[in-house]
Formats: sequence, structure tokens, C-alpha cells
Amino acid sequence: MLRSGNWYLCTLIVVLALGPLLAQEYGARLGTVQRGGRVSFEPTGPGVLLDALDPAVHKWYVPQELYAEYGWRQRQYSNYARSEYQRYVSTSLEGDYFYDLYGNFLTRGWLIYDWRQVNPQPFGSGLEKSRRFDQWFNSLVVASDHKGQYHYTITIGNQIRTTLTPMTFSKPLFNGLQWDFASDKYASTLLLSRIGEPNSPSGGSEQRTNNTNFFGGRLVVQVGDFAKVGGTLLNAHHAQTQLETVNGDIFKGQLTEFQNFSPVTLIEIAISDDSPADGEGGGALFSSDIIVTDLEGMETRGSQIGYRPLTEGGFQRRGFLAADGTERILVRYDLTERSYIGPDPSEISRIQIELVIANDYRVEVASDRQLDGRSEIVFLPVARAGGNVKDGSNQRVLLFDYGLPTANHIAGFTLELTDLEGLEGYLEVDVNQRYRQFPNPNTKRHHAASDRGLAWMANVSKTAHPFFAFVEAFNVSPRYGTDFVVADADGVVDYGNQFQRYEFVDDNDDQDRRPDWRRKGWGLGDDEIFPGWDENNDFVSDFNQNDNEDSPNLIADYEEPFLRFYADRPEFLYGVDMNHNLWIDRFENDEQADYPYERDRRGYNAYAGAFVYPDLRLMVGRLRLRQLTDNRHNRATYFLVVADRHYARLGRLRLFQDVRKVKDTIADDLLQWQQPPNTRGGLHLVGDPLPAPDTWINTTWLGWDQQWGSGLKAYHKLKWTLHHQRSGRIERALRGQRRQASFFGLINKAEYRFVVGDWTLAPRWKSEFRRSVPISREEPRRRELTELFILTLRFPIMRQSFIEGGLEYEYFNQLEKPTPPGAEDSFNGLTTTVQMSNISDYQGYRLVTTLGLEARRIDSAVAKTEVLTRGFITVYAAVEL
Amino acid sequence: MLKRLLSIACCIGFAALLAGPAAAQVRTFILGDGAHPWRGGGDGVDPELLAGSRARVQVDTTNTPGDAIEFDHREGWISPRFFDGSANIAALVLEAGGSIKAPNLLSVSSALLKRQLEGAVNGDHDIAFERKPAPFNPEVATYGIWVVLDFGRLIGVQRVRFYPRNTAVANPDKPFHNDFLRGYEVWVNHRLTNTIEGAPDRLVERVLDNPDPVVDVPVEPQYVRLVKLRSLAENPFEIDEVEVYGTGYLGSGTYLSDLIDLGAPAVVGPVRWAEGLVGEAPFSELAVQVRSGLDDTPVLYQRFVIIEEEDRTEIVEVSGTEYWALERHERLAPEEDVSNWSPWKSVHNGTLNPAPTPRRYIQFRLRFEGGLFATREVDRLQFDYLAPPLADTLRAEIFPRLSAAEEPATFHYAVLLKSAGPHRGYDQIEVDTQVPAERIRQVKINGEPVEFTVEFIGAEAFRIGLPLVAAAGSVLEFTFDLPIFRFGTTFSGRAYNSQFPAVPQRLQPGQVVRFGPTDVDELSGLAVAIPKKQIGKLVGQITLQSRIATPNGDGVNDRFELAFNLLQLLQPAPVYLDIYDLQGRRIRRNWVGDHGIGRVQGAWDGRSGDGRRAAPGTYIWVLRVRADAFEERHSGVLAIAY
Repeated sequence: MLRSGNWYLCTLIVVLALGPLLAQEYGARLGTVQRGGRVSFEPTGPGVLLDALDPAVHKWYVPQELYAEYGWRQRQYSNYARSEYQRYVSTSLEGDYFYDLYGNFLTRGWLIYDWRQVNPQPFGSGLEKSRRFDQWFNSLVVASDHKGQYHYTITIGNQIRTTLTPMTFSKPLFNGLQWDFASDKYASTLLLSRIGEPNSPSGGSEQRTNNTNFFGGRLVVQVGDFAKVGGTLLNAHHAQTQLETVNGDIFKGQLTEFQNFSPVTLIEIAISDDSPADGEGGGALFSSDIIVTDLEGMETRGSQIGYRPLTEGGFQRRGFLAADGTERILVRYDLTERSYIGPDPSEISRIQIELVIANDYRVEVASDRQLDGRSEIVFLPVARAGGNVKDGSNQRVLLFDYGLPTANHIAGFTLELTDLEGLEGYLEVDVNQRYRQFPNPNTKRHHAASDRGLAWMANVSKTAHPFFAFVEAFNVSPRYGTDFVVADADGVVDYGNQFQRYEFVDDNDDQDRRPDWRRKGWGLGDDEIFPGWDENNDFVSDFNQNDNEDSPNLIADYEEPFLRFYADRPEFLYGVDMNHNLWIDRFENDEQADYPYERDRRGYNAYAGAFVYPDLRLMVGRLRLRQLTDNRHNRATYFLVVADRHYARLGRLRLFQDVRKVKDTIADDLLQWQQPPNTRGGLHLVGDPLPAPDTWINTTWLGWDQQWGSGLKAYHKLKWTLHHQRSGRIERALRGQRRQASFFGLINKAEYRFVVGDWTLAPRWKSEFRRSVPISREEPRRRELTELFILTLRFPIMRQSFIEGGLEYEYFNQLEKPTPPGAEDSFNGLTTTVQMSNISDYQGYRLVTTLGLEARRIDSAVAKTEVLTRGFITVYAAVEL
Repeated sequence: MLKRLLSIACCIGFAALLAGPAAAQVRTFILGDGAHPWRGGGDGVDPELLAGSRARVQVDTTNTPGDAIEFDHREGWISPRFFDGSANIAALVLEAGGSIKAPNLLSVSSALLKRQLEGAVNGDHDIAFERKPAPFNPEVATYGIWVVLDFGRLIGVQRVRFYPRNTAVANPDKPFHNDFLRGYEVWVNHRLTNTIEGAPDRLVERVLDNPDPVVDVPVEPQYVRLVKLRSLAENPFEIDEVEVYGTGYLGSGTYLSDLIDLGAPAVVGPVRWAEGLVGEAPFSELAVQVRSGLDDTPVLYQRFVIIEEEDRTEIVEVSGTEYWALERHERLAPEEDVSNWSPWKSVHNGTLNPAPTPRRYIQFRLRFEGGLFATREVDRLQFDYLAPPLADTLRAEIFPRLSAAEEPATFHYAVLLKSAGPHRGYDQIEVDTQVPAERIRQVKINGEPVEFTVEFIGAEAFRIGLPLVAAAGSVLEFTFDLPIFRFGTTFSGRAYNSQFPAVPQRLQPGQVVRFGPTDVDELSGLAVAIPKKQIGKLVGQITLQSRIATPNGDGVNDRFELAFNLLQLLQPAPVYLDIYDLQGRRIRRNWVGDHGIGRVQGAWDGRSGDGRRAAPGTYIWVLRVRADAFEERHSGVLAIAY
């Protein structure tokens, strides 16, 4: 009986003996690892190929890819007489092989997205979005799964609409990764992005040593069936991959190589007037000192070693320097100066500046490491006085650490109430920490300091029909900020460059897909911002509806013949103006992040009301709002009536009535879309004229639409606003305001449509009366009457063509004598148009061809008669009509 | 022997200085009058002002950087540059900061284009900007061509005119009067064109069928930076000149005086100027700044010197002339000479010069800000100066430099006269305080008690008269009492020579004497701090005469009285003493008055707001100080008895 060991030996001998025979079938040796009929690509490393143990001298090549694919043996005569030659085909047609961290074969395919960071290592941050990411997937990939009530989705894209909360993160174009989870009770989101460069423009991996990363998240928990409790955490920070990730606090970020390139040798502090317009009570500087800490932790005070700063500017007062009006005090600590005998700049680990200041100060700091793209020093804000103090009562010791910004961190809490005894509510509290670190290349750990800004808001509403009430309170510190300047590839942080500023909350007043401003990640901005004026969402102002890029229209619709029958001037719009800047709030555009409440504001607003009838409601309310860094406020007590009623015979009657007593000294400047003559319109800075420093404001809007039968329609619109200044004559004179300012506008329109067979005849009449007494005394009174008489006729010719003719007579009466500057003199205008239109189907398109002629004659009371003519032939191609 | 003669001569000279001060007059320097007209800058050394970016520093040596100052509009006065509407200012685009470009004309050689564009604004009527076919260039683009005049700053404009050659100005050799623009647009912009950032161009006029060779476009007076002309015709055209007619004042301008050489180190007294106003005051502003120097260049020129033997480089200071003769790589960027020149100090009209003196050189900077028709004008700027000064340096210090707020404290004050050259000495010292000083005493010169007189003691200063202190190294010491009420109370001072009262000399803070073991030399100065924990408090210790008032007219405790110190305030704030009953109703509001720092007393006569006597019982008093930043309240209990 043979022992088992001998069995193995025998088996081996037999196998070896048979080997040369089997060696004749080379192809059988390939794909030795078969699994489920497929070749396995597990990372097992090359093995011992028993079939290749031929003791032959001649060079033998293992049949590999060419044999497997084409049956080609290296030494075999290739003759393609019978079997024709087959060309090579790319072996990567189906992509590459990919493995996970454990060596498990993942898939064969293509790398689409790869973001990884390795520390400590140069160029340790790599991000690759392959061209396939853009071309195949339109810059968006989504992975998701669910089981029962649990769902999650991972979204990676260049343009993701993302909002966590309105105060912390809201972007129409988030570029990064969003990982959402939702169940019946919980919902959470994780956001990740390398905001320094979230793309790989070259198509390959974008490697960086210095970069700026962002992560954020939100968790919402349903508590009972009436409340949701949420937490938010956001952080943007610089990262330097040559350092260990755990070097310091990841929330505080790291200094980039450029920020930490050399020691700080110069620090400048600028003290100026936070409210320069009043020319007095600006920042008062009593003393300044520098506290230098070396690498050993030893502190040295500048005053103790006789080192005093060079101070420039400021008016010398008894015991202090004053920066009143446009004056600016510059305190310069030059650590290379001879009188400085403290630690060498290369040995400094921390610098603190101690100022004793008072009054309405604004303190900014700069250093020779804090530069913009042109190597110019950039000042960054440190502190601002609350209010507009002039009597020194806010004297304080301001002690702050100097450092370069390294992170912006926000932690927040939300509580949402839904139908809790009829109450709806929302509370959000957010704390913003902006970290900075002191640069010194001779140390790995840098002293970090931070500024804190708090923002909170609370909204509560209650409806107990017919009564309802709403209360909102808010406080947004001027130090609260959701922006962060990112580092470029070299680690340079250009503090003066808006394009390098990443915003957590974008400015997007018109709520389209384009942020209004130009910031990191969106350099194009938005040229066309007219919130509320694009109700049909076609990105064209509703006041110039017939304008587009190919066929620009330089006349607003309310000025353009024929169109002006339907389009009324913006002055006839109605809406609530809670910031009292003469612009209806829902049409406002500014250049601020879209927080629900502006920064640097604290206050509340509350109103209560009742439905007297289902279509008539009354409201009374009170607003108290304060600007935190200035002695400015917005106080209003208001009474509103809103009615919208359809009468069977009278038609639709609408009434908006707003009476309010206002004291508003806060300037809410805007950037508004306006269309001056001969332009397509553009954004213009519109300053708040502060029309209501102590004022009664009445706004009445009345609309009445009537229709008789199917042909005759009439529209009436009346708007009356009145500003009655309560302040005295001298105060008004100083502000250049009239005691009573008003606008009264009345529009009456009627149209009738006769249809006789295929012919349509439509006479129209529009009367517009405007009388305005502007608030500013410098602006002239206006009183104008415009009467329009329009007659249009339309009739078809053949099957797909028709002719339209129009006649518009305009009578403009300048009622103010003499004609105010900038206003038009009285005139009569007659516009005659003829137009033929054809609609044809052509090569799959629907062609619309128009040709016509327009003649306009204007007889002015002053200027010579003008005759304008216009002829046109245009063809439009449409996919549908 | 020679030494002895010299010392006798010195003594005689010194005695002559002391004996005959009346002969030496205070001199007055007037900038802007006949002797030193504005245009000459004061007839001193040319100013040197660092300009340009940090990366490329330049030195401007003109009195009017940016050529933004007007000398002729009103004789003898200066203001921001003024344009009266009749002058063509188009040529200003050729100055630094300005430009003229045709940005969408890329096919023309840059040299030719530059020549033509410059010819279109420089008044040369032979050269025009041409868009006409030529033998080698038969097809030229004419429609939509932009000509952009960038003034590089805001300039008031009221009219634009342009025309081809041989039209507005006869030029028969160039008979191109028919080659005018048949269609055009004129645009303006007050910033560089940037529609996205709120700076779109504004159309002034568009004409599609222009029949006039000479086009005159009125512009509503306004500040513009860019004037842009765009052709709207296919016809070939040329522009001989684009004329831009300015109006109003420039929005800003800086005048820099020469480095005024006072001949020797001198003390400079108050600075005064005559200021005129054009338009409304709120719309314009004038800031006057002054600095003083020890030498005739406020810029530090340095060069690299290579020490080959030691394989190192050294930085050496050189003169301006030498500096500009060096190769570029040998130069260090010029920088402010902070060792020999003070920083700029702002000064109000009629106040003492804030720049350190005595110094030989002094320089003024006037910065104008305003609007198109609102500005400031300055007729003349003058100051008195005295050379030789009272001393080279008068250094002063106070001790102690930390004192608890509102507690009476004794302060020691010392003044050291330092001088190495001729000087006049002083016989009066004035010290700034915030409350009246008390018990001025122990006046000593070089440790010896001397007779002195108290010239005055005011709420904000006191002055003492002394025997003339003239010897170099003399130390004056004296002592006074007062409480301090504010952090950073500075006991700044001035020395006077009663012969020249118009020109006091400021005392410089610094080390004078050791007042004791706790007097650290490096901390010496004139500022006294209060403990930082006391900062932020407006009301000090409150003392009550009695907690019980008996307002029965017997003259004893008829009123409830309290007293306290107001701290920290820079301006008076209203103080109220309110009385409440135990139900929380306010029965009386007493306005104590508007008070600044110092002692305040308040009282209640025991009557309610309507004049009736308060009933016997217990009341609550509330003291309120309504400051801008907050209202500080203190309260307590009092009793009324009869």
C-alpha cells in the first residue's frame, strides 16, 4: 500500500511526463482562471504555469493576447489566403479594469470621476472629471439605492441646485458631490467639493498641493408630526497636502504654501469713520500696542521695549486721534525697523494688536503677506462700532490676533413647526466662525484665532379664520459671512479678487439658474436681472417682450406703437415696499447674498388681520428694524386693505390700500434693470433717496376690468401715492425734500373687436394721465396726458397668408408749462403700418415670413415735423407655431 | 587761549540771544501770495511723492500729481481743475492714465493707428483717423468702428464735436470735407465699460442719416471717464478731430507744496488758510495735511552694492540723482524715508501744526474732493515759524502712567530741554488736562525749587510761568493733583517763550527722569491709562448725601442729593434722575443736564411731576446716563419723611 505522499509524487511524475504532449496545445493554457465562463481579473498576481515547464532551449513565447484574440502564434506561418486578415481592434473598447481598496475587481469600464487627497505629499489633491463625464453624462452622474422607506442618492455634478437652509447654503449651481439620505423620520445631506478647482479643465487629473475644500451637511429629524429639528454644518478651508491632515483642527484649515512663504514683517491697521457721511464722531484711537509671542511662548509688548508704531493721518484731539469723515488713521508696525528689538520675525508665532478705541470706528488690518493679485496690500475688516457713537461711550480695548484667513465655518440649528395648534413656524440659528492663522514658515503649528458672527431668524404665523397673524424676528450680525476666498494652484489667495470668492449663499434675486454675481465657480454673472418682471419665464423683460438677441428691440413696450395699448408703465405696478426705497420689494435686485434678512440688521415685523369677506382682508402691522453698525433704523406702522372681487355686471374690481407711518433712515441701494431710450435695457445702480425719514405714506391702487359680451372690454387702473413729510421745514430743506410728494396715474382703456367673416376690425382707445411731484426738490413736477386711438384690421388672403393694417393716433399733451427739463413737448403722432404675413412649411420647419411698412409722423408743438419710415422683410423658422 | 576766546564768544552770543529776543521776529510763510505763488509750490525743493503700484514704484516730483489742480480760474486761488465749457479737452487722453483706442480695428498696423488716433485729438488738422479705401487696401470696414477716448479719470463733459478735415478748420490741401460720418452713436461712461458690474455705456445720441460734416453733440453735464464714438454707416469716413468740451470741476485733486526750507530747524505755529466754497458745503471737502523733515528728500533711495570679497551684497543709501543714474538692477524700490520725515498729519484750520518740530523742512498736502459744480478753493495758506526754536527737543513725561479712574491722584511732570545749537529757551509751560488741575506745586529746575506763577487753570489746561529755562539739559519738574476719568488721558503740553507767544513748541513724550523704581524708561510718555477693567463704565462711585429726605423746608435734608463722576465720555451726554414709587410708577423725571466727564450732582426736591409733595414713604431713584452706545443705569432706595 502506497502512502499518500507517494501518491502525490507519482501524480507529479505522470503530469510532468505528459507535459510535452500537452504543450502542443498552447491555446489551452490561456485563461487558466475561469469563473462562471468568464475570465477573472482578480488581482492575484502571476502564477506558476505548469504547462510552460518545457525543457526546450529555443525561445518560446507564451501565447497571450494575439493568440486569444486572433489565433496567432508567434512562430506559425501566417497565410491569409483562406481566412482573410482581420485588423486590430482596440483592446480598450470596453474600458479598463478597476479594483476597490480590497482588491476586489469592480468593473471594466472608464473612469468618470475621481477625487482623492493624500497627505502628506506634494500634489496630494487630485481631482479628475474625464471628458466622458461632460460628454456622456452632461456633467452629472447619479447613483442611488433604496430599501423600504430608506433611500439614498449620490449626485455628482457641475451644476446642482442645492439648498440646505436659506441662511447657510443656497446655490443654483453647486459643483461637487451631494449625498442625500431620506427615510420617513430622518433626512440628511452631505456636500463635498474642492471649491479651489472643482473641475479638471485639462481632462486629466488636476493635481494640487494647495487647494480649498468644502464640506457641509444637514440632518433633519421629524419629531412628532408637527416639528422638524435640523442641524447644519458647513466648512470651507484651505488645505495643504504636504502637511498631515490631522495637523491642527481640520475645521480651522491650513495655511497654503504661499500664505506661509515668509514671515510677517509689516502689519498695518487702518482706523476710519464707519459713517463718513456725517463728518464727525469717526473712529477715535487712544492707544495702540503690539504683543509679539515668539516660538518659545515668550510675550513681548511693543510699549515695554520702547517700540512704537508709525502713525499717519487722523486729527489730533486731546488724548486721542480722530478719524472723522474721510480721514483715515494708519498705524504701521514695521518689524524690520531699527527701534524694534523684539523677537526676530522668523521667530514669531503670534502677533496681537491691542487698540483702545471709541466712537464710530471701522478697523481693518493688512500685512505684507496679505496681498492681491498685483501684490498690493489688501485690508480686511476686523471690527466695526455698533451704532453711530460720537461721545466716546463705547470706548473699549480691542485685542485681536493677526492672521491670514484659513477657514469659514458655520454651524446651525433649525426648528420647523407645522400646524401646531394652527401655528406654522420656522426658527434658524447659525453661528459663523471665520478662522485665521498666523503665518511663519519656521513652525508647523500656527496660532489660530477666529471671529464669530451670529444670525438667527424666527417666523411664526397663525390662522384662525377669519383672523390671521404673522410675526418675524431676526438678527444678522455684520460679521456673519458665508463667503470664502479660495486658493489658486500656487496657493495664492487673492483677497481683492471677487472671482476667487466662493459663496455659500448666492445672489440670485431673479431665481433663475444663473447667479447674479460673478464669483468663484460662476464667472459669467447674469446680465439680465429683473425679478418679478418675467412672469412667463422666458428670460426677457415683460416690459420689452419683443426683444431678443437676434432682433434687438430698443423701445420699451409701453412706449412702442400698438404694443403700448396692453403694456402699462412700471409706475402703475403695485406692491409692498417694506424698505421704503420707492421700489416694490418683489422687483428688487441687489448685490447681496440672498439671505432672508440682510446682514447688519436686527428687528421684527408683525401684522395681524382678518378676512372681512372672503375677498376682502384688512391687515395692521408694525415693523421695527435697526442697522447694527450705524444709528439708522426702519420703523413703520401700517394698515393694508386688499380686495379682489368679481361682480357679475360690474366686472372685476381690485383694491390695494396701504397707509403707513414710516421713519426709515436705512439706505437700501439697488441694482435695477432699467431701459433708457434707445437701449435694450441694463442694470443701473439705484440709490435709496431715503424718501421717508419721518413720513406718512399712502398708496392706493384700484383696478377695474369690464367686459360686455364677447367684443367690448374696458380696463381702468388708478394709482396714487403720497409722501407727506412730518419733519420741519429746515430738516426738509437740508434733505432737499418737498413736504408733499405724490404720484397720481390714471389709465383708461377700451377695445372692441368686430369679426365679419374672416375680417377682424379692432378699434382701441387708451388714455393715460400722469401727475408726479417728486420727493426731491431738484426734480421737476410732471403732468402729462396721452391719448391713443388705434385701429387694426386683419384679413386673410389665400390659405396661409393674411394682411394686417394698423393706424395709431397719439395725442400727447404736456400739461406742465413750461416744459420741465427732460420732458417732451406736446405733440401729435400718427403711425401707419401695413404688414403681410405668410406661414409655410418648408423642409420640416414652419417658416413665418412678414413684410411690411411703417410710417410715423410726429408733429411737435416746438420742434419740426418728423417723418420716420421703416420697411422690413423678415423670415423666421420655427419648429412649431 | 583759543578755546577760552571761543567760549567767551559763545557766551556773548548766547547772552545776545537771551537779551535781544525782541529783535528776532517770528516769521510768517505764506503759500499762495505774491512771494510764494501756488504755481511755484513755495519755491522750495521739488516734492517727491511715491506713486504707481507696489511692484513698480515711481516718484512724482510735480506739485500737482495728475495735473488736477486749477491755478487760473480764480486768480490767486487753487481748486480742482476747472473747465469752463469753451475749451477742447480731448487732448487730455494723451496724458498719463488716458488713452485713445479703436478697439475693434485689428487689421491696421498699430503704429499707423496710433498716429491717426493721436492726430484726431491733438489739434493737428493734417492727420485724421481714416477709414477709407486705399490702393493696397480697397476694402475697409467702416460700419461699427469704435473710437474710445479714455480720460483715465472723471471729467465733466458737456459737448462732443467731430468733423473731417477742411470743415471746421479750413485745410484746402486736404479736401476731404465730404468724408464725414453719415451715421454715428456717441456714448459716455463714468467707469470702464462693464455692463455686468453696473457700468454700462450710456447713449447720448444716435443718428443714422447725418447730413452735417461738423457734428456737434450736446451732452448733459456730467462726469465721464469714457467718450465713445461709433460709426453707423457703410460709407468711408475720416475724423480730423474729436473735440470734447469739458465743464465744471474735477471730482478730486491733490496739491503738494514744495519742501519748504525754513533755513534752519524752526518751530512752526498754527496753520491757517483762506478757504472758499463753491456750491453746497456737504458736497465738497478739503483735507490739509502737513509733514516735516530733517533733510531735503522724503524719499529713501537705496542701491545694492556687491562686496565681492565677502560674497555678499549691501544696501547703501544714495541721493536721488545718483539713484536715477544707476542701472535698473542696482536700484532698490524707492520708499518713504520714515527716519527723517514724519508721516502726514491732518490739520484743522487755525490749529497748531501737528507735525513734529523743530525741523528745517515742512511740506503741505491739500486734497480736494467735490462735484461738478461744488468744490473748495484755497486762497493762501500761512504759518508762523521761529528759528532758532525754543529748544532742539523738549521732551516730557508724566508719572504715574496708570491711575484708577476718578480717584484723586498726584502726578509728577518733567520736561527736559535738549539742544545742541542756538535756541531760545522757554518761560511758560502749558499742560492739557481734562478737568481742572489742583495744587500745582514743587516746581523745580534741575532739582532746585524756583518761583513760579500759575497763569491760568482751566477745565482743559493749565499754564505756569517760570524763570527762563534755556540751558541745554535743564530739567523742569512740577507736581499737580487731579483725578482722571478716561483711559488714555494725555497730558500733552506746549512750551512758550513769552517773547514769541504765537509760536509755542510742542512737548515730545519720552524719557526725562527716573521718578522711582517703577518708572520704566521704555514706557515713558504723557498718556495715563486707567485699569482696563474700568473701561466701559460711564458712572463712577455714587455718593448720597442721605438716604432720607425731609422736604419740609427746614433747610435740613430738604432734597435728596447724589453725586458721582462721569467717566470716559468725549462729548456731554444727558443725565436723568428718575424717581419711582414702589408700584413702579415714575413720579418724577429730573433732567440733571448734559454733562461731560467730571463731577456731576443731581437732586430731587421731593415733589412729583405735577408739583405736589411726595407722600412719605419709600421710593426708588434711578440714575440714567443716555450715551450714544448705551444707557447706563444705577438705582437705589430713598425715603421721604416729614
